[in-house]
Amino acid sequence: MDNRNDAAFEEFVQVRAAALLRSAYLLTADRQAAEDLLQDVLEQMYMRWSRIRASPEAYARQALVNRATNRWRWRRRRPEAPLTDGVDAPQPDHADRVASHAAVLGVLRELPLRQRAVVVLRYLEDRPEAEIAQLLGCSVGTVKSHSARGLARLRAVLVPVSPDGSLR
Amino acid sequence: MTTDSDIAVVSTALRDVASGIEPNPELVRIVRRHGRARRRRRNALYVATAAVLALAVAGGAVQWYMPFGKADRGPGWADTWTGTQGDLIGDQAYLNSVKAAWKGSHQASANASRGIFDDLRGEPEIKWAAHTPAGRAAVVTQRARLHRHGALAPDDAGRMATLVGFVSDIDGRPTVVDDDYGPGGTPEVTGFFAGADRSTLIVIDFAESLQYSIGREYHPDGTVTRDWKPLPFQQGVAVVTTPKGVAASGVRVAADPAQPLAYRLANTGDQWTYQDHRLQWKAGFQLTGPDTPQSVEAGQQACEALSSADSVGVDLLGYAGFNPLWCATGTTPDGRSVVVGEKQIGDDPSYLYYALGSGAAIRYGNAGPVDASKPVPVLFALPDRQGFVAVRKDATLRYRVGNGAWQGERRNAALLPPEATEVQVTPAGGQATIVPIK
Repeated sequence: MDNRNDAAFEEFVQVRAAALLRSAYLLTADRQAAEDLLQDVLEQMYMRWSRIRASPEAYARQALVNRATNRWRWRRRRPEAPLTDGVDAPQPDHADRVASHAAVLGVLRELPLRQRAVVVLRYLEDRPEAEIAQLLGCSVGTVKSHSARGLARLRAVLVPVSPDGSLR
Repeated sequence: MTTDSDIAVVSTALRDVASGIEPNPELVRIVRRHGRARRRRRNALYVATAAVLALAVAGGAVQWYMPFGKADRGPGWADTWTGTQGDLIGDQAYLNSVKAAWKGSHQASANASRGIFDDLRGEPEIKWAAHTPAGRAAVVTQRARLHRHGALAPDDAGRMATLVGFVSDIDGRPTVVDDDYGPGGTPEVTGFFAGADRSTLIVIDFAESLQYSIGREYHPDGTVTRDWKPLPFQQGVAVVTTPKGVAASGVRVAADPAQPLAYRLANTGDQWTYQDHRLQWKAGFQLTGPDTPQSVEAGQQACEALSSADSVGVDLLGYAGFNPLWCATGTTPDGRSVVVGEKQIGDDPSYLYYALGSGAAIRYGNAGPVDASKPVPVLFALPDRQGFVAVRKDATLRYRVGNGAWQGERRNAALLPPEATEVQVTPAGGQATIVPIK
């Protein structure tokens, strides 16, 4: 890779790695697996940079989703962590909507992989349904179905807490 | 029932959970080191380590990587294309009807839910209008400000955009058949299909030598290629009529066919819905040795030789590729390892592939499309007289030579000797069927 490409790749990683890692974290529901997944995707991108440099974001997202939803190619190097590993105990912060991290991750882990991916793409990244359908190679109707079911599962564990900390 | 409040609660919760996650500061250095090592391994072993990608990647060679968060949205050609081009430039009545069609199309647009038409700026401009084999067609643009919207990606919000409307005669009237706002992270839209049957491809000339491909070809060595032809640009566009039966969704336009970089096309009719033609076996099988089924995980690992091979069953412009759900492994009489699985691209049939040998000597092959209705859906000959691969989940398989005795009984999968002339398959709880081996 020449210096220009190398600099562009580094800039891409610096600018986008955090957002991609956060998506990977929810796609895998496991911090270590997310780091492995992102590293794997970035290595793949590094090897192909001259071909994908025009649109690295699209490539990264497609690769993340492909690998996260296709265990045939997702080489997990570590087992998924127990429900609360690496996750701070949820502390009500007096915000109007307080989520239990562990509960959210627990629900995500229970969702089928593709449904989990739809939830992350739709509700974390605000991706349009048509784009998610394109990413996952499924119909918009399937995306709607997955997102509705995933939303319902997550909504059920997200108990709103009022500013004084009491349950609503 | 889902409410906006539910969505807001869940979105906030997901962002909250992910908010504290930061990448390793050494990530770039680690990736570089590992990436170089992987490249060396790949070159040495001729085994691609990259995954199959159903991707809409690229943006084309004309657009260098831009730092995120700065660029306007919309195609670059829209700003450099000044004035109206095409043989309908003087037909004011038609131009007026195009503008009217554009203004009347927003509510029904799939992009309306993203709010892209909420803050239109200036007047629409017709960039091109001409007669085509599909009737009259036109390209109209208009500037707009994109605002944060529930259905708009955050990266696209807060920008100016050049919206594009693609207009084609439908039932004799100018109709906006598609529109675009240049969403971030996607290739530039550079053309569209006109006509009710989407048989006419119109590609915009932006001083780039472009080629188009109408489909892919599967080869015996496992590779998948595309035919490419130069686009004949004239008066601002190239107009191509595709053969009957060619799906617009399978057509690609690229600057360099040697690279997997395709521009986006509008009005392809692609519903992004793919029928899964793969065998839904979800297991690992052994062709030789103990015939106890393997775990799914073991099967997955065994199939890595196929699923990660870029040169096998992959069309990098295919947009959707599907890896094996099952995998059969074994050892051939001459001592080589054999891996059998299937891959599907888009809506094409699912094809059987094998990897014979390993390392630099690995040899791939395409054993043809899968037909789940056959008594033995997987039955093909390996090269070099290494025998026949036969697989059917939960079935008992036996073979014989001529009128000899049935022998070699196995479950699920078998590597039959090259002399075998018939295989008997008995599904669980079913009747035995004899299948000739050709």
